[in-house]
Amino acid sequence: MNKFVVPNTEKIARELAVNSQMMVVIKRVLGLPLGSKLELVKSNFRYVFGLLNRDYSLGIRLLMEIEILMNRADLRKKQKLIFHNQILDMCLAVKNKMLINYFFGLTNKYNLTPVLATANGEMLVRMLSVVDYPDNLRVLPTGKEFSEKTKEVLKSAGIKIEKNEKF
Amino acid sequence: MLKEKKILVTGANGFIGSHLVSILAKSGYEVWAMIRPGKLPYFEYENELIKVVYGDLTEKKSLLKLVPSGGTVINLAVNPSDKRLSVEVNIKGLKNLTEAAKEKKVRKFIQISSQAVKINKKGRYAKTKLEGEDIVKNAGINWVILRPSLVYGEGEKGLFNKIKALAQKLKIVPVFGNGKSLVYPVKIEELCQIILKSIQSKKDLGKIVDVGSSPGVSYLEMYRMVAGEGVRILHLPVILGKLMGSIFELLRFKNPPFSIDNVLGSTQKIGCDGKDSEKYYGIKISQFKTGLTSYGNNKKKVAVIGLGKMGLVHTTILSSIPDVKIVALIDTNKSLYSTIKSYGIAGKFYTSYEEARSKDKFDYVFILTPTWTHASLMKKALTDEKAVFVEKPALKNKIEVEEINKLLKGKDVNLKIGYTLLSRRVIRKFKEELGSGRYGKVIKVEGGFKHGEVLAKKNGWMFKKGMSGGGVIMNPGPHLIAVVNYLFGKPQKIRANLKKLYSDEVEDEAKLLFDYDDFEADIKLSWSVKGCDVARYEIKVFMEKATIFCDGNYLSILKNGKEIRIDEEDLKPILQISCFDINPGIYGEAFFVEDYEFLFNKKKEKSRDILSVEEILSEIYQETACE
Repeated sequence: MNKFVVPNTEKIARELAVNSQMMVVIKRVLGLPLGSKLELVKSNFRYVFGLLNRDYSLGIRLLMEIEILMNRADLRKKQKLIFHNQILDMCLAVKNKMLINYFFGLTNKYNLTPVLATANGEMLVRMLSVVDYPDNLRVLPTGKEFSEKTKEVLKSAGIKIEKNEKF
Repeated sequence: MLKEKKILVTGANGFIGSHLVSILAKSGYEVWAMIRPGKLPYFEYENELIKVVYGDLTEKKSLLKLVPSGGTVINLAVNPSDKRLSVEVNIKGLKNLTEAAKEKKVRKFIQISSQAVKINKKGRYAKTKLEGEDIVKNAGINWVILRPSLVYGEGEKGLFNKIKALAQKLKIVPVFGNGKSLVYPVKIEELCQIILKSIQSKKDLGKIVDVGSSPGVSYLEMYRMVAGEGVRILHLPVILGKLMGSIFELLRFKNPPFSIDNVLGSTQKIGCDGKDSEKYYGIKISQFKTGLTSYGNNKKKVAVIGLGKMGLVHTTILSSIPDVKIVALIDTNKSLYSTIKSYGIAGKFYTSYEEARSKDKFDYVFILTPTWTHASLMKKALTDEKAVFVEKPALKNKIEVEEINKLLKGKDVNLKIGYTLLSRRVIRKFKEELGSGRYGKVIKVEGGFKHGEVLAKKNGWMFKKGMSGGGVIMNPGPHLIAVVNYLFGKPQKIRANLKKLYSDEVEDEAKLLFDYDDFEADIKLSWSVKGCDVARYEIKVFMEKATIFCDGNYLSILKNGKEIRIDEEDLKPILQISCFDINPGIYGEAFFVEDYEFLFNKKKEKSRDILSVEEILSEIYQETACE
């Protein structure tokens, strides 16, 4: 299975150097085919209020969905969707379950395999113990290996561990 | 490990269990923390004394493998409301566990029951818990039954935290009936201490012990205290509560806001003997108000100024440290607050330091704003005798350095500048190697910084001399200069050659020569290197017997024609605790170490050393004109 990482933090950071956050989103949306635009509106209609209030989790969710829609054709082949460790690890620190659930929701909606990339294995385990994660969930250590205990508990819970990779 | 030191904790993933497992391990017990097969642990499992074990109370066979022969069993496993499972777990499962305990000749069985067993009209939970008490009493084992009242403490789990979360989210707390029934809340840490004492106690064998504060508080009072300001109490009829509880049950809510048992328990009279815990264990349970306010008292209270990129990095790291409480978030831009709050960062929002200081109490201040704002904020915070962390570079010119040095003179202060490279394992090792005496004297030093960040004219405060203090020397440069200063100290003389390539006001390239007693350090900095997408630092030290090179990722020691390479990840972590790594790509561990050492290291630096990098920076510009 091939991989695809969302959100593309490096690309967004580069674009943010010359554009506002709103412009980054608008430019991306305008680049979508009509069908995808309608899909995006439908999917985010109930979140409009939160998005206008600059809700962080909803903002990231929107960016992830745009990236999925932008690469929809490739994603049919690239089944694994990796949640970038830069965002996931921040969620783990502040115990933001909402964004992780949004990610699971998106992988479910677009029929992709969810992969959580993290440099903080123990924190991820504790977070996953309080969220409903999908059966096909995989985790990916990034930068450093998980401890033996972390590997053990993940395996016992039926969660597959991907090969260590840095983004 | 002695047999008596082995403990099986069932229900280890619950609110009480997750706290208890850590406390037992910290007290030297070997803990077998039991969770259901297929589940992940919620507790801190990395402690070598904690073993995650998988078992099911409904399967006696699995229990026989897990109950420690001659050890202790603490039963916290419970199903609170499911019709079938509450019988399966709370009654049949408990029977299996006591039978296994008898077979394995456990020295003590500690059953955690509930005050709910005392109420007249019992729900499913109370009925099965009471029946469970009889099972334990008649099991033919050494037992004690602890009946805690409502247990409160920090965390996400448990009834208390559910109420708290509901109050924070909806700004409404539902109270069933008049709310006048009494409850005797017990702090989780105190309950765990009681359990800890009970493990070794013989006095409580065969006893039922009430665990609760005395006198109690009414549910109404308790909710008011929990909810805090701006939260309304909504009285609901008991019948409506029962109806809602039934609906949650019928719809099979996995984590309902409350159950019928919660409604019944909070609307009937219960008497709790507050003296029991003192009588058996010498522990007096804190009054609810005292206990509740004690949370956060031992934490480091932090105010963060600046909610931009670095604000997000540091608030995230601070949120990952359990002993830290962010009390104030300060920024002139109000819209940043809604984003940072929705992201999950705690703390009240203020638009100025003065406003935060007048309304909140904090001892630590993180200044994460652009350089030109640092001096005035530092003056205010240091005058208030706060511990201050400032992003690099702390100050933009000689006048500011002199002003702050005057303020620091003769004082022992906790002031730290965010030179993150100094918190890297490899840089600490570098200093250790240089000071080892194995390589003779330093002959020459070469340092360099390269990046392709400025390849055309750019706008922004970083390119305005009056705001940033300078260009490549003031922005990425201080990291490298801080390392040179850390390794060799302040130079006696500085010569510099600065060059503008694209910027109007600040230098894009710099050649620096630092004169030391016996050697010179030649440093080249440029943020205008074409094709250099990633920022690179490197330092090479030529010594009498070796050449040592470091690029931040690894250390290379070339001695007698042989190279010894030491990678960052092969070095021991600086801190002996589990560090949160915000991003391995930017050596996130170093950011954590930097913040942690600032907050928890007792050693205070001599005030004259703190601004040495800023003194070097201001000296560079003092002596040199830009071409």
